[in-house]
Amino acid sequence: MIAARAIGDALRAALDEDNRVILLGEDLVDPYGGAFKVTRGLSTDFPGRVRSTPISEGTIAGLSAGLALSGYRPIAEIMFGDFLTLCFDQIVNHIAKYEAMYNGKVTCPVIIRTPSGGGRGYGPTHSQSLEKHFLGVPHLRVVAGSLVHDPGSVLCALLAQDSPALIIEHKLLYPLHLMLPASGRIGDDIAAEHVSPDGLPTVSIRPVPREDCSFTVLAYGYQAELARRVLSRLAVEEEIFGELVVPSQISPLDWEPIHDSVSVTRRLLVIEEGAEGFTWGSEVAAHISSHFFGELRCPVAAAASDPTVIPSSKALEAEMLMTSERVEQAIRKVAT
Amino acid sequence: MVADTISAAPVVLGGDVRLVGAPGEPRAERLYRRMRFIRRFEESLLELFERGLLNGTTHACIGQEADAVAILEHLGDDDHVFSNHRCHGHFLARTGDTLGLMAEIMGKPEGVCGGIGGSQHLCAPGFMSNGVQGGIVPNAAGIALAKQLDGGAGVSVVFIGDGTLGEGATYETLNLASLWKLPLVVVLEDNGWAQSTPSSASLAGSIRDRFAAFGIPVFEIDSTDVEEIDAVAERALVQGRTQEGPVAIIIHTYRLCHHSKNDDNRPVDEVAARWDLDPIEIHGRRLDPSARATIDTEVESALRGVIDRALSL
Amino acid sequence: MKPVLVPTTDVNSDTGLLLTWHVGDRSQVEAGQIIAEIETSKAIFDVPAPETGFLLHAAREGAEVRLSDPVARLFADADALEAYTEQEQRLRAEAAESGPRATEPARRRAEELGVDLASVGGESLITVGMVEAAAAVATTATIELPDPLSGVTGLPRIALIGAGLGATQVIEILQAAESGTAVAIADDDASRWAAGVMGVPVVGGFERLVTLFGKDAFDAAIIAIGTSVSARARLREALAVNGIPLANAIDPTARVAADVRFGTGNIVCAFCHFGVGTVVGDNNFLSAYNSYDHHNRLGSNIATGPACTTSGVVELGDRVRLGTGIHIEPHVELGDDVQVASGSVIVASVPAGHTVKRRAVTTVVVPQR
Repeated sequence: MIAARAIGDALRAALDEDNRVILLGEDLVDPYGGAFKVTRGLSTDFPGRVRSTPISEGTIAGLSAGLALSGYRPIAEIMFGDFLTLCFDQIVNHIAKYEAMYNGKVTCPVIIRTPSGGGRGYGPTHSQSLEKHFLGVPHLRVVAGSLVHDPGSVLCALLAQDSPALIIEHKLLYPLHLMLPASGRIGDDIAAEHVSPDGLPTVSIRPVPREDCSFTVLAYGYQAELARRVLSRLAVEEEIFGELVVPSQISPLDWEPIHDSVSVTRRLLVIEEGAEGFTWGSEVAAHISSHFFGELRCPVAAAASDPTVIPSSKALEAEMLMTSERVEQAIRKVAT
Repeated sequence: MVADTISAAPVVLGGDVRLVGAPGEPRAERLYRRMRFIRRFEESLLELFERGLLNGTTHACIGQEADAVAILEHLGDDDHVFSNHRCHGHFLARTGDTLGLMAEIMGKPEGVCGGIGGSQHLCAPGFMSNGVQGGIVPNAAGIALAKQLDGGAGVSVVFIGDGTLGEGATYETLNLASLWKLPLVVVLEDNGWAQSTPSSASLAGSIRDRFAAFGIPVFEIDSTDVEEIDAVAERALVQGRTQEGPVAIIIHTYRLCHHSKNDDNRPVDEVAARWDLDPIEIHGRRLDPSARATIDTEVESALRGVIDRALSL
Repeated sequence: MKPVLVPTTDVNSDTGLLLTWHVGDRSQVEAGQIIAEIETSKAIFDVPAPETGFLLHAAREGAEVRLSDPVARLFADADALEAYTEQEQRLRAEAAESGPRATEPARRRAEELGVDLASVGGESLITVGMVEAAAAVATTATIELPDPLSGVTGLPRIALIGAGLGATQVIEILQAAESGTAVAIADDDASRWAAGVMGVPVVGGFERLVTLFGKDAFDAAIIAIGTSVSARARLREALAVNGIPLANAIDPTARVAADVRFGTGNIVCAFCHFGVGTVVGDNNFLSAYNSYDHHNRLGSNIATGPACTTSGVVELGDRVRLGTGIHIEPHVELGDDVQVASGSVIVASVPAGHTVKRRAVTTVVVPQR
């Protein structure tokens, strides 16, 4: 099943099973059904509960906060992750603070979904991966969709608890088929799923048993898919064996499956699409270096896109973004 | 018109009757008592700051008590109030939880938010406040949307100031609230000053036209007389409950105290002149002097009890 | 082999149309020769050959090609081109069947070694290591393992572990000392099986040794490994677990004071000296010309190089590893697992788990002019 359809179905199931779920965002309503068609069909089947808003990202987030404070379960869509900046005040100073600042008297379980990422040549303000600016906001979960996680299970887990969450969906994943672990495998590779106490999964993929893997790659979203393809090819063509660990929730991290892998391979590469510098990779490197001090065979490597604007020209974009070539380069470096 | 009769008091979530008024009390007296309570609370608070018994920042509403009391007369259990940094008057009028507020500002665990929220970030049944200008407006609209989806008759009230009109979030929300006909009541207390900046230096055009631009009916009054404001509030809330969309209540008033603490550089004679329009005086003059004196004493002793209790926690 | 790519500056196209091949498939081309024409959204490009060689087409005329993929491949000579095409065909054919999954290096190795991939792995990806292991097993499976020698009457029958050069030393010592006779050697490296060392058969791996002990084929064992103290210790454990005792092999030229006590499993090479009051533990491999002066105490599982000399009242802990030519002053204690670089002079005790290194390089090797 293709990812966009699976996400749409997950939203449908949520609307179906829980009357408190409300969808808000720009251009969600049928027949348009959302900029990436994820919500197609929903406004027709759930009238009044799937609403198109004016172009007011801050208010989409703020309204969601009010709904959540009143006991509803709003799932807002921000059309491009680049526009999350317009929601920053609401997310940081309102949504993520109400429960704690009011000493637990209320909860504010807003879920915000946003298509994000580059690779389509959409240019500097429609291609970014800005999730790095929301990592580490206290009381906020940042979750990333990947082909190896079932969007339905992830959404269910988020709806089963009361804290706010930001879900990053890389737009290049939408037309691709999900690849969920089945009978301990994904395709030809060994796949294991670890579920955190609050229901968020991490999937580990390896071509050969873990003890034969010489390094671990940590990635999410589209980068996880690029890494999976590269690792699969390098395993078969050159016997370069690496284990890929893909968390669904990227902040705060469920460290257990990451530790399990790194404690055996003792080499880690973290890959992300966001701009290099003060990144997810920096945080993982700090934690893993501290936790495994003296046991790692080399420093934790972190690969990210160049810290500059994302050009519209596809060729120029490919020079500065984390592409398949750069993923392979980074993997080869850590493999030797 | 407000008749000076014994009318059913709106439900108040607890509170000492000497401060919040008792059922059966003549309306004029209750209105006075409640304003007096807020006034004395704020003054006591500032005094505690002077004496070094409180720290942090606070924003007193001295001079604007009539607004809180008048508006809250027309709200009930189904309604919600979202206030801003200058929220004590609104909070006390809504909940009467004097000890909870005092302890909160003192940072004590017995405070209404365990000492975590402090003066600007309060939460009680039917009440919330936050200290970021404008950000609360869409939150209040979200609560209004929830009430609309619930299908009940409740309204969501948000208190803003003239300064809040600088924030884009306000206009985004007015647009959406009007479009979706949300039961949102925006109460704008225009006290002519945003911290140290007069409206003349921060507001272009007219306040009223801003709401009109979004098709929102406006109820406007330039007064510190609680009974006049009360009359306007009654009409506005009736309109607000028709489910025809949001309403705005613009009250031109004046803040008689500093913005927060020791930061008042408004022209001295301007401030002095406004003391002549002190809402407590304007309404207090209507009462029988001995009744007024009794109320003053009751408020004083009730408040004293709370402060002593709070200090001892 | 050099891939030939379209030299395009058109950043708006991902693909192009291969209009014409100017040279036939598998023909010889000169560097710079225009070999094809590609059309993109912006222009028609001439594709030059980047160097001289034999050209293999990678796409047909009229085909849409991805500009990031090679349109042709260049080979230094015709043979290389043939080899490439054969291999490509073969790999493609193999991949096309739903045969066993294997890495490409593993497929090539399997072909070299004549291993049938289907017999190698179950569900997992087949690697070169697995192919080689299967080849080794296949070889060894066909080997008939020899029996141990029957020994000499009156002498204990000794089994050695390790079929390397250490075994030759132990066999020689036993012959000279006439304290035992080597009847079998065990080694887990299957490539050494069925061969012999100085007439003593290599009978199989450790497992075979345990089986043979059960059948009373030998009386005691000696671990004939001189280099790895961890291997000595590990094998010592394994022997103890299986109830197999160790024996000593002490060269007859060793000068051992009358009251010196030895444990078991010790190998003492020629011209070693043990002074009065010295105690030696178990399973130590002491090379030639080692001198342990009076009242020394040696632990177990130690391995030393030749010409190590101690003074009086020196203690060596377990699994100590000495290089060659080391001198130790009196009253020095080397803790467990200490390693000492050759040529060191040790004047103070060394705590366990530490290594003694030499700073100055006094011997330099230079090429002759």
